Amino acid sequence: MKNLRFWNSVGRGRGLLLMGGLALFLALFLSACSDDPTPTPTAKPMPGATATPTLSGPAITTGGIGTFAVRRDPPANFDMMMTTIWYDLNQMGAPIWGSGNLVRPCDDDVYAVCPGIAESWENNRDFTQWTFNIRSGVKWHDGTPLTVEDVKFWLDLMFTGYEGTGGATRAPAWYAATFGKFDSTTVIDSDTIRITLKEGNPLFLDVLFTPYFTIGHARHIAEPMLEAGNMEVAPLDTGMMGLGPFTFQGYEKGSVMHVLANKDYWDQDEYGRQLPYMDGMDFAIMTSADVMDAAIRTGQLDGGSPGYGYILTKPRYDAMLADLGDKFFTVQVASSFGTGSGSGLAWNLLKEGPWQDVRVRKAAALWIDKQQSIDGVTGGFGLVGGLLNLGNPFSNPDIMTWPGFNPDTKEADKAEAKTLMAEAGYADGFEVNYNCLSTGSWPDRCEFLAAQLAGLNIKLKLELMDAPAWKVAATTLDYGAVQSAGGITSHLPEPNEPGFLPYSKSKVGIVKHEDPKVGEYFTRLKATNDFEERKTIWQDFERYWLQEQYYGVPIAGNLATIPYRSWVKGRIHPPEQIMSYLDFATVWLDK
Amino acid sequence: MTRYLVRRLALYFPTLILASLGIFGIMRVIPGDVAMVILGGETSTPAALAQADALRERLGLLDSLPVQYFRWVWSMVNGEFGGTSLVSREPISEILARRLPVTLELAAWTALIAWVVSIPAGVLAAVYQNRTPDYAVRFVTLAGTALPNFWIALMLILALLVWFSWTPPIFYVKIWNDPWMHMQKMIWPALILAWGYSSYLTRVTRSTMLEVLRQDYVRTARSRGLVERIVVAGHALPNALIPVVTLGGLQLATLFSGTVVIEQVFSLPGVGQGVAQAAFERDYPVIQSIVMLLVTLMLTLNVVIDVIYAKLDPRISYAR
Repeated sequence: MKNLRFWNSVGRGRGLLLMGGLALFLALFLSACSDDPTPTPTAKPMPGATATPTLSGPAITTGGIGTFAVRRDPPANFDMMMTTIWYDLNQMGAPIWGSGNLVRPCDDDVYAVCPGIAESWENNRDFTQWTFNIRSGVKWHDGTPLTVEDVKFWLDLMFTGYEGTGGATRAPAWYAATFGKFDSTTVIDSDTIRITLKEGNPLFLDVLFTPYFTIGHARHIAEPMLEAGNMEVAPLDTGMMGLGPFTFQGYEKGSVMHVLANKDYWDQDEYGRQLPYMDGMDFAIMTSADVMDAAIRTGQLDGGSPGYGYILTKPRYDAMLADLGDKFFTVQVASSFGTGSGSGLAWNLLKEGPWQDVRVRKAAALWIDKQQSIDGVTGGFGLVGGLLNLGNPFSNPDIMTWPGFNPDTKEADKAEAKTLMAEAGYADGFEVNYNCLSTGSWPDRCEFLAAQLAGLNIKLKLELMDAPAWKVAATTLDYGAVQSAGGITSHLPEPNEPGFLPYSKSKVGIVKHEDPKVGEYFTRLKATNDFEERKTIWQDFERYWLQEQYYGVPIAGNLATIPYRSWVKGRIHPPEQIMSYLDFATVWLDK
Repeated sequence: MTRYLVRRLALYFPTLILASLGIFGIMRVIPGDVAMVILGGETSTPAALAQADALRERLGLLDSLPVQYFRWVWSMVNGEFGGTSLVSREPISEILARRLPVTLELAAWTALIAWVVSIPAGVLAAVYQNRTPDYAVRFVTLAGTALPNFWIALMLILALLVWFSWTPPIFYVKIWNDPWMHMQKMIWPALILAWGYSSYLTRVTRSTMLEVLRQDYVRTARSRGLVERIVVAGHALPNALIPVVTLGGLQLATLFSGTVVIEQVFSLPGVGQGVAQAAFERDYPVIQSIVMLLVTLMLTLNVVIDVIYAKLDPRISYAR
């Protein structure tokens, strides 16, 4: 049985080569290894940890050190204000800073706002003033009490940056503008702080509760460093001081980060039991997804990384299932917001070409078989949607019945696509350049689209480039007629505005166009706080974008499938927000 | 010899300068921008755009290329060893101090294993030419030369997993913290690199041994009635080793390039992993400085090996 699994895993041909090659190694060094998994170095367990529940509620086991994989060292010294690469950063940072800030997404509804460091809040009638009551008794990991001045420092650093005494300045956080036009922060009393905006923003909280906008700059450490002229002070410079459920213990770049339970953490579970449950965690930096899989299978790792390239594909899942059976489970998160716009085909309408004709764009949208892309580009775990995820309350619920999306009408759609191409005068097709990321699964996506459109005589000429080059190309018009990727970064429509606006207003738009109607939709969206009205506006916009103008053609997005060993319990994983509750406060190990 | 050394050193520094220009130029030709990498490509808001511009200015990326080049060269020679990482702001000397011991140790284990295995294997293959031991050695060395080491690494991990339900430790620990765990982490990449490295050495040893064993003085030794072991080990091998030492030394420098991939696979925080990470991040000073270190190492090894070669073989003279 073991051998059968082996052949299934590596393939018979490769296995023969492997056996020959490894025979020498194994014979010589077998004795160097024990059959038993060797204990890995872990953070030192907190003395006095208990393995029995002390209050009512379902039985849990406290204590133990969890070991989880991350893909790489985070950039920008863990400074969330400096980088949008939050995947690895937040996975390692959230346990230290907590999930969210003053507010955070609720664990049972990712679209609802729940208290964080702030116990309560209120706003004035025109949404220009937001007042927060700060929770009492919250301490930094070094025991320093959190004050309202600390919160003001963090908010000011985020909104306005910093101006040092020597004239040196620090820029605001990259996401500062997504809150609206900031005016000031005011300390009302020892527990209360007010944020004032120049223009009312009814969605202020919906932006603020983004789980990776974390409080990672402790005033009592960061401010003296800023005053000393270090405008780049980042959490790593401050000893990763935080307010979250785990305290920073050590970080060896390229290898591991250790955290230990914060016994003074302010949060409890719903039964009043102190969080976190685990004694600590080790985050192993795994530079190979295959090695990560192997470590999960041997039990060295308790869970995998949620990052792209590391989330399970169907073959990797099957291999793990064959080996572990019910000894592991997966959580699945629709991680790629905007399964379509961020991962399919987007036209550059500022460049002359056949795609200026809406019939050509419609033909391509009808022709591409989106269901096939689930296997073709996501490794078997994917889903097709519109501009936002399926299940997102803003998405059109009937999108899978639309022409081009409905698998049952695919043949008729294809016939219509041929007719449209002929009517537009392009029955013989045309060639078009296509910027394509050369990393991860992007080439698969590009090749899938190229193979699909070849049937419509549209030849996609793939221009492969790595991420930095692609990002530069995406902000210019020097690339070919179409580009792939882009990205929707929020579950809310409004923060995604730059990805859709006309080129004259946003150079990072996924589709390059000058359609004023697009901007009008967003203006209308921002003018109302009525949920139903906003939903209707967005759904109209989605229909306009995908079914009237055919500006983009969505294909499948990844359904992030993250493996955990079955002894990992209590992981909160909202199905539509992969970055929520990565603080692991509620996770316990049933080993 | 002295004149030869002076001549070599006269070429040494112009070569270094040319190499530095090449490395610097290549890094600037590669598309991409470290500011975009740090900011994650986010340039959609005025604040983010301002931040990107401020970051580029702070990183010195807006200066002219000659200014950037000479700033880097100056930092290479003034003790800063290339300055600091653009991404982590860590001094490159500290990055090297942290990563170089890992790579050097890996290289040392690799070289030790390779030399211990390859010399006897090469001699064995030569002595038993066209017989079973020779075929076996040739098969293994051919595979070691042909198979890419990253593939061998993945297959090895898979085989250990399937056959022994065991994988190497996922963390790197220093040898003085936990020698047993350290060796479990280090031995596998060393073995894989050693396979490729020793394959080359074995083949060189075999061919030089074959050549030497056909020399007249070896035949003379045999005709004097010396036992074969003495003939091979005492008379043939020392002379056969001269080119092996030379080529093996040169290969040692190229061994470092093999660590880039293998350190990635085994999550070893060495120079190879650092170079790969810096390349992805467009961290120019880090890549430039590390590559310059390797170039310097290569050039130095060339000179040193030439000197050793002359010492080993009295027939060789660099005097004109």
